[in-house]
Amino acid sequence: MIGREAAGSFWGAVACWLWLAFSLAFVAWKFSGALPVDADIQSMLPASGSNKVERAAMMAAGLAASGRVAFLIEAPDGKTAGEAAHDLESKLRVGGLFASDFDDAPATGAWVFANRNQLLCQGDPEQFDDAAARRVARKAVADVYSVTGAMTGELLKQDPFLLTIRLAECLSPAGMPKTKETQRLVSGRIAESAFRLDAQEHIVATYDAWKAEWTPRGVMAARAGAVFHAEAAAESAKGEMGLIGTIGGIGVALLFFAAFRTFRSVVQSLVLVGIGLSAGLAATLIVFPSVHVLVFVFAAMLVGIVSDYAVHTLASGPATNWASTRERLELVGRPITVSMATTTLGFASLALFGSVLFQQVALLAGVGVVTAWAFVLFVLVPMDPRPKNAETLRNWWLKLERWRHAVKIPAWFTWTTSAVLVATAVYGVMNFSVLDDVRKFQPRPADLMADEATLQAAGYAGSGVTFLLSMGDTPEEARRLEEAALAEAPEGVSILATTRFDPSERRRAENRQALMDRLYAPLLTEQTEMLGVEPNPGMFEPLRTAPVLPGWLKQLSGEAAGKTFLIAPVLTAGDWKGPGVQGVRLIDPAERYSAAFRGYREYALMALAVAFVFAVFSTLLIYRRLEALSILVPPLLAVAIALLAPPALGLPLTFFAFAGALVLVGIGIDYAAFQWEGGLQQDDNWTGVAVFIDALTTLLSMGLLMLSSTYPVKSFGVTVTIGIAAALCLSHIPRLVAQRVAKRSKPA
Amino acid sequence: MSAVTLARLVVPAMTVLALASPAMAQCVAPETVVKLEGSHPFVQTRTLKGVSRPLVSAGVVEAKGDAIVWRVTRPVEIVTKITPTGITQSVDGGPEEVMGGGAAGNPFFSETGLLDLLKGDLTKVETRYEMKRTERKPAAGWKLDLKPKSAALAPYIASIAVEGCKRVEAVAVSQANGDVIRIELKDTP
Repeated sequence: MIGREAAGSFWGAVACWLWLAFSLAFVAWKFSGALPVDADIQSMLPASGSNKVERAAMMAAGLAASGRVAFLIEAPDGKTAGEAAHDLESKLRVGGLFASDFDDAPATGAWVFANRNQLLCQGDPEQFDDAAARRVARKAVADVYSVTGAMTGELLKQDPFLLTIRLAECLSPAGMPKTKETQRLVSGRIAESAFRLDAQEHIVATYDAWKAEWTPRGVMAARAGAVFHAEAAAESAKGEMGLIGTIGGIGVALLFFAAFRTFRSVVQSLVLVGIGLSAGLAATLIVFPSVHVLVFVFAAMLVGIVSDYAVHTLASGPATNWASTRERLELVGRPITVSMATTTLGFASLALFGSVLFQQVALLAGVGVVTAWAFVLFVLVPMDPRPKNAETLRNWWLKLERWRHAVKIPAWFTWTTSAVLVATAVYGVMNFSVLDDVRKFQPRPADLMADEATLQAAGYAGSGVTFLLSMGDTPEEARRLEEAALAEAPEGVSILATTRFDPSERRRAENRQALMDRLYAPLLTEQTEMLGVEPNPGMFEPLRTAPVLPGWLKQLSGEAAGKTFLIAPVLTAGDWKGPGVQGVRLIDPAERYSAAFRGYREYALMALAVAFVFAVFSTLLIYRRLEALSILVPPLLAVAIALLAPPALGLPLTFFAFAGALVLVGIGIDYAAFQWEGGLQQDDNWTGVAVFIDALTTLLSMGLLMLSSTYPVKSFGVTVTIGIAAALCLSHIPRLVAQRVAKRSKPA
Repeated sequence: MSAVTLARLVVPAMTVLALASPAMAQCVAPETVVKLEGSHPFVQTRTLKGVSRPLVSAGVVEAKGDAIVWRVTRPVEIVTKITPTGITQSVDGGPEEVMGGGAAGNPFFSETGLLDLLKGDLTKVETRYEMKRTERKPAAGWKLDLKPKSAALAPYIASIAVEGCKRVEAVAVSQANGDVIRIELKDTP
């Protein structure tokens, strides 16, 4: 029997090491290429939804909007501005990451030229009246005879009214830039996702280097684009991760050294945390092509849980005077397994939200916890032999335990604390508030906002995050719907619509007829005489080679669930609530994300209930007595207090607070299970101190997240901090119940 | 005019004059020409490839400080106001409209330094162009043949010729596609 157990332990250890070797190799391989980390908020959206078209459109619109980038350059004179702009564009192009809007100009020009007799500046062909036609004709004459006009003889022969130039000026809703002589606008799009860290680093580093070179020459610049906001947010997250990780890591190391008085214990706990993180990261990268940067922030919770396992395992050494592996496993195996099972189930419930981000958190934390649990049972305990100074270390541990026993909490303090908690909870219920609006989650950098205002003043329209979504069974139907919606848009609403460049067949015919009736028929002879060109009979014929739709226009359409959709970025929406056209919707992604978080938050309550139901079954299955359900009382009450205290303190709850509550279930059960085990033993001399160290390590890892400037992370940290404190205090409840059980079952 | 300014204008001019022919003696060096100021009649001739006849327009250009107003009076009435903050244009007495891109939007206009050339500011010419200076014939004066240095200008501009004596009198821009625009500035009537 023992031989079989030993063999099982041996093969368990082999499996652990093999899995670790594979994980490390896989992570190293993934990180050797392009950084597999993204920071796209879209990862938080449900991966599957009732409206797949809407989701696909949001992804396409997000990609089109987030990829836009623009720089306004101002210099003491026009020549320097031109040179600086040219230099910036050349530097951005290195590596093929940036494509200038001018790259699209030939394709856009060719498209407009080829379609010039079927397009109109006016949205409604009826508005192209005789006066409008005459203005077009005179404007073309002015172009030819004024000093500023730019055209070629070839164009004039084919297009005597210079419709191509007029359409190029009017079809873009923002119009042409309004730059001064000393200003230049460099605009375009980035080839990679703006939320990839490597893309952010390339763009920002290039811009910074360029600025350092040109600022001494009096050149100033403003920049706009999601890539800069994403980079600022990622930098902030990296800074916070570094600070919180460093403080937490040092704190945990000092705590371990203070408790166990060996460097080995510090190394063992840190290595165990590293193993959990590596395995979790490897599993996540096996399933997903990249990991969201917020997953790393939430990975802090893994540090807290895994370090708890290390505490219990290492504490079982001095507590049992380094008994045999089997005895030590009997002591810690069951409560750690209960904790692992309930924690993993808690994390697994995060995956039910259907969001890629939460699936990644669930996978990373779940696999990390299971791996750490396996290493504890198969590797850590067998590799923690009796040290040379065992007696000294044991005496120190017993001294800690005596100190803990010496702390007597007076009844009045307990009752007062309970009263304060109840009052706080009641006040929290009365002032219950939530925050789901993603726009309020993180303050936007003031310098970026000022730069964007400067660019807007120069006529840069930005990227239009809100968009009009038109869905049809065919491309033609989608176009007609978009045209109907555009007709309803009030004055002042500015929309970059595909159908302005590529109308429906019906609208093309109407436009062509309007041009024939009011421009070509009455004015062509007079115009060609004025300009000295021969009327070209082929000017109405379709081109021999059909023009290709420019790339930026292609981005504004797609197909999903058998439907064709068009997205039209709304550059200025005003108070417009959208058109009353069936099949067309005005979509504000920020609203959708906020609604998604509202849904997640409501769903998280259900997930909490499910986690507790699982915990009830797991506890009954493992302990097989009803009294063991007292293990669930501390986490239950801790979750309640952790969710009611923040509103009482004026901090509205976010979904992330509920995610923190899910983590509390696992950690609260961990503390309570060990206290239950301690209560069953006559001579428990280790559980109290171990649980206290557990709580401190958790506060150092997860509680420090309350210092974050990002509200969701702060919200998570506050909830966990309050909950951990409550779970620690309340963990004595199962201990008392277990002591009564032990007393009852003690032979007379 | 201060003595320093006077010296800065006179010394190079004297040097040029000493080396020049008798006919050139009445002219000044291109670097020291008088900048365009006040009203001057002009004639613009566009010779477009594929168009049977040159397209000629005429009018008056008025320069005042940084602002220039080009007033075409025939064959169509066009008023174009160019200031450092942008360009506006009115056709047939209609409302002034802001022209797309201001001075910066049209590379033909902004990147070429054409406005500086027409205003008679030749001080920055050599930063943009390879310059070759010859004697103008048969009229007395000089001619500058300019070739763009920047590869970015090459698709637009093949060469520019600037002619003058005491001031810039004509600028001819030969575009890369074969089209030519020539603007002649006359003396104030």
